[in-house]
Formats: sequence, structure tokens, C-alpha cells
Amino acid sequence: MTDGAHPEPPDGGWGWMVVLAAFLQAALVFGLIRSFGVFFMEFVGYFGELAGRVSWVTSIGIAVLQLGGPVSSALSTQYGARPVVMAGGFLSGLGLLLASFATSLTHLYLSIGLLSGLGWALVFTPSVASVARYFAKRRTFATGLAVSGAGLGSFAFSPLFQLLVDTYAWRGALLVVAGISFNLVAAGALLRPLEPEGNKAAAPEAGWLRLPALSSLCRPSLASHRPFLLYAAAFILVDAGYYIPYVHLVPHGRELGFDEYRAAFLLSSAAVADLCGRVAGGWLADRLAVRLVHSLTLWTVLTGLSMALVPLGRSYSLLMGLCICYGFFAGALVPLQFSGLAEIVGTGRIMEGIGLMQMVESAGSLVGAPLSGWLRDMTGDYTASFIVAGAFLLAGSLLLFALPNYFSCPLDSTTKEETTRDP
Amino acid sequence: MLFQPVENVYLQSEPFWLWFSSAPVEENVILYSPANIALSCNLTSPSTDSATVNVTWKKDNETLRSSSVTFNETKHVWSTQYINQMGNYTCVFKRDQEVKATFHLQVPQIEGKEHHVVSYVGDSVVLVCKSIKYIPISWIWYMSNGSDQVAVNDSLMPDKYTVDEKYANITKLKILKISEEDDRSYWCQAVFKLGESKGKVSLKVLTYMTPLKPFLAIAAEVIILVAIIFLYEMYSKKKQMHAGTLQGEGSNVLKQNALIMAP
Repeated sequence: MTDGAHPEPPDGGWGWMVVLAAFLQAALVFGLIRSFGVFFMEFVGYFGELAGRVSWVTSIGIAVLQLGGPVSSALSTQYGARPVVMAGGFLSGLGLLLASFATSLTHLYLSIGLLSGLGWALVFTPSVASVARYFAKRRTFATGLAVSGAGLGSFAFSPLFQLLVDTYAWRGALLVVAGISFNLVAAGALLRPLEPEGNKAAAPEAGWLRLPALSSLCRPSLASHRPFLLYAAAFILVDAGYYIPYVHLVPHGRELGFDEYRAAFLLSSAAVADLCGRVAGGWLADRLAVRLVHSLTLWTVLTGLSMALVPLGRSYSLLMGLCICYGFFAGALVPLQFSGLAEIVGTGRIMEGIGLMQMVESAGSLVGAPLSGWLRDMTGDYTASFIVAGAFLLAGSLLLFALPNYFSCPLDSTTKEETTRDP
Repeated sequence: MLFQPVENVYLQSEPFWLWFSSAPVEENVILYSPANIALSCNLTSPSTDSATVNVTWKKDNETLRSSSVTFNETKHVWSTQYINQMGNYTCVFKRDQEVKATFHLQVPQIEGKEHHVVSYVGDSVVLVCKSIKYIPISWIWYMSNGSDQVAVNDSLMPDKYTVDEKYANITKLKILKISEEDDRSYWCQAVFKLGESKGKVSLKVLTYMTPLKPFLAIAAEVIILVAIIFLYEMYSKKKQMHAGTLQGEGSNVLKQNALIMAP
């Protein structure tokens, strides 16, 4: 949907370069975070600290990434996506560079957790929003392509980081990874703004002060937007269950008696399926004459079901099949989540929307893994954890039913879109 | 320290055929504490004739004893040797051909690290050796000095070397204020009741220049890419504006012609 203040999305042309930029950013942010486990073991050995204390390094980084969403969207609404993303890329590289000189764990918390985390927050939100701005008809496919960068990134970076650590030890490896991270600046340069003067037109009061954009943080207009609230609430529930398999699949496999490599392979297969799902889900959504929210509900329900069925997988092949299903469905819903948001709040407020949603979703993801671990401790195995995770996803999809105009036919919404686009 | 027998261990090699020369049968036996050991070789014959076979037991190629044994109805023949020392013991069965089996009695082997441990000048590093299943009495660290092995004296140089022996089966050598001279091999020697065994760990020392080079190369690549992207954008904008003005001129020309044409 476009309103009069915004140009028509090109749906191609330079848009594909924006998709490439967002793809690189997903790889360099999420792919990097997912592969950071290599450094985890090195920190434990070097600083002689407990695993729990070391895992705060990435936890702080991810928390800052999600909580920084609104800050990032306010800044990019005011100044445009490009400068914010380039600054974010520089900060994230700088954080890793400073980390290579660390002499204590606290130093790592501040440089990787706080500084790089802030950089990542400034990179992620505007990139996804830019893709949403550049595309209308093929928005979901473009978003799917962009977010698939995370999967490809973690594939490439895991062995690369191990090689860097073997060659340069963790200090030198972090230095090289900082350099690699600076490529976020180059990717950010590709985010050409659609109008020459940036997106200042979105905020009506922007004419007199630069401050109002930041004060919109304190009273975001979206907080009173009922469909947005429902959507965000649905995704809090989804996020509570979504990451459980990534955390608990390997221990679950080990408990069933499979050895380390077979259990790890379960997760790898889910990751490959996730990658395929992201691209396929995006592609399918744009082709089919089904409404975005309907497809989104379908993928969410299927993800929830496959997750709840995981405990039934007693044999390796059955468990592998369920993991692949989970991976594919979970991947497919990611691009739809973002383009569904674009439909609900409009491309004018997409920046704000993504930022805010990131922040509230962090509540779900923070709760999910510890809750699942607690259930396992209480019941003795992971059966309850997976079932509860699936239940969270199903509950989230139920909330989606409460969205306005949920049950209207696809034809109504497309004609509505076309009429708003005609000059 | 008394060499006290702690347990009686009976070992048996796999039965093997006499009549074709198979590859020599070998078995590694790990001995942790002193014991009385009976080594047994078991021979199976495929044919039914009751033959007599010569058995010789050797320790490290030195003959211990020789005797003869006869096949019984079950076509098996055993020979047992009692020992209480470490070494390589071989039982040799001979009729027309010779078949043998060897037992290698060893102390537990310590695994070092295959790859180098990498560290930097001025930094500190921890070298680890483990012996999970068998707990050694003590550990000694050595470092290579040319082709010799010199003991690492951590009491003489406490601000350079620290040995952490919190757990008996893991030893950690912490080397502080690393310099380029510390780029050498280190050995951790585990002392067991029956002997010693060594594991090797190599340290490789780098300067900060080593990883700096790839970093600077990548940073330069980023700057070049950003420059290319911005230059291309300015170029394509100029092209667009240029094409825009041409169009504007063209329409002006048309208008003028139209004015002229119209009476």
C-alpha cells in the first residue's frame, strides 16, 4: 500500500541491489551471531570463566539488537536508511575490533555486547524496511531472498571462523572478523533512498525540529494502532516457541541416544530447510492468490504442529523428517512476517513498525528458551518443552485470526490496493 | 615404594589358524598399576590330525621359554605365560610354518595436541594436557631447547611459568609475557606407577602484524566498494539529468515549430 507522500515502489531495477544489500546484512549480522559459538569455547579457555558467564556476551548483543529496534527506526525515519545503516556497520565492526584487545570478560560484554549490538540494531531494521519500500507485488519474495542471507551466512562463517581461530587465535580472528563486518558499510551504501530528501515527509512535524522524530519514540503512534498491537502480540507468542528447537534440538537428540555428529546434523538439516523455506515462502506468497495473513497463519500453524510432533520422532529418520518440516515452515513464515507488517501499518510507518515489533518480540524470545529448559528439568525430558513450544505458535496463529478483515476474500484486498495506487 | 600386585589380569589373544600365514596378530594392553598378568595364546587347527606344535615365548626378542603342546579333540591348543614386567611379549607357534601373536604392554598414552596453539607476543597462553581415564601420580613439563628437552622450572621463574594442578588428571602450563623465543614444542610427562609417558603440545607465537594485514586488506576493499557505489550513483544521476534536459530541449523545439506552422 502506498500513500500520496511516497513514490511508487519500483518492484525491480535498483530494488534488486537493495535486496542484495539486505541479504549481505542478514548474513553479516545473523550469520555472524549464529557462528559465534566458535569463539565461545576460546573465551572459556582463555578467561577461565564458566560457560554461563561467557554466553552473556552474545546474549547482550542479541538483546541490544532487539531492544535497539525503535531507536534505529526513529533515526532512519529522520535521516534515511542509508546513513543509519552505514553508521551501524561501522559501529559493529568497531565493537569487534575493540574486542580483539579484551583483557577481561567485562570488556567483551561492552565491546561486543553493547557496541556491536547497537551497530547491528542500526543495520537490521532499516534494511528490511528498505526492501519493503522498494517492492509491492514481489515484496514477500524479495524479503525472503533478503532474510535467507542469515542461513547462508551461518553456513559460510562457521567453518571460516574456526579456520581463523586456528590460524590467528581468537584475538587475530576477531580482528579479521571486524574487517569482514565493515562490509556492512559497503552494503549500506547500496540503500539508495527512493526520494532525494529522505523520509522526512512521513513525520508531519519534521519541518521545525529534529527532536520530534526521537520523541516519537516515547509516544509511538503505532502503540494505539489496534491491528498492529494484535500482530505484535501474536508474534510475541510465536517468538516464545520459535527458537526452542535451535536451542534444545541437539540436547534432545543426544538424550535419545544419538551421537554428537548425528544430533548436530539434525540441526544442520533444519537450518538448510529453513533457508529453502525462506526463499520458497516468499516466492509462493507473491504468486498465489491467497491473502498474506492467510498464508502466514498456515505456515505458523504448520510450524507449531511439526514442533509439537517432534517428541514423537523416536527413530532417527522420523526425527530428521520432522526437523526438516519444522525448518522449512519456520523459514517460510519469516518473509511473510515482515511483508504482512508492511500491509498492516503501511510503508510509511514500516520503519517504526519493525523497530517496535523487534523490541516487543524480544520479550517472547527471552522467555522461551529458559522456560523450555525449566520444563525439561521438571519433567525429565524435552517432550513437554517441544509441545509447549508448539502450543505457543498455535496460540500466536489464533491471535492472527483476530485481525480486522481477516475473513475477507483475496479479491477485495487486491482491488483495494489497486485503487489506492492509481493517481 | 613397594611394587605391590594389585590385581590378576588374564588376557587372551584371538584364536587364529595355523595353516596359512596371516598377518601378525597384535594387541595393545594398557597397564595402569602393578599386576600379575597371564598372557594366553589360543590356536585352532582346521584339520583333524593330532599334531604337536612347538611354542616359544619371547620378551622383546629374548626367548623366555620353549615347550611343545598337542592338539586335543577340540582342535584347540593353549599356551600361557605369567609375567610381571612391562614389555613386548610374543608367543610363536611352529610346526611347518610359524604363526605368532604379540602383546604390547604399555603405560597409558598421553595425547598432546595435533595443531599448534597460537598466541601473541606479550600475551599469555595456557597449554593443557589431559589423562582422563588413568590418573597419573604427577606431571612434569619439558620444553625443547634445540634438540634437547629441558624441564620447565616454574618455581625458579614464577612470573613466567605457572603450573595449575587443580585436578590430578589435567595439567595446565600457563606461560606469561610471551616472547618470540617461546615458539617451540612443549612436553607434558605423566608419571604412572609403572612408568612415564609424554604428550606433545606446540606453541606458535605471532605478532600483531600477522592478522593486521588481512584486516587492512579487507578495510581497503570496503572503502573502494563504497567509493565505487557512490561514484556510480553520481554518474547515473548526471546521466538522468542530462537525458532530462535533452528531452526538455526537444519539446521546446517541437513547440516552436508548431508555433511557426500554425498560421
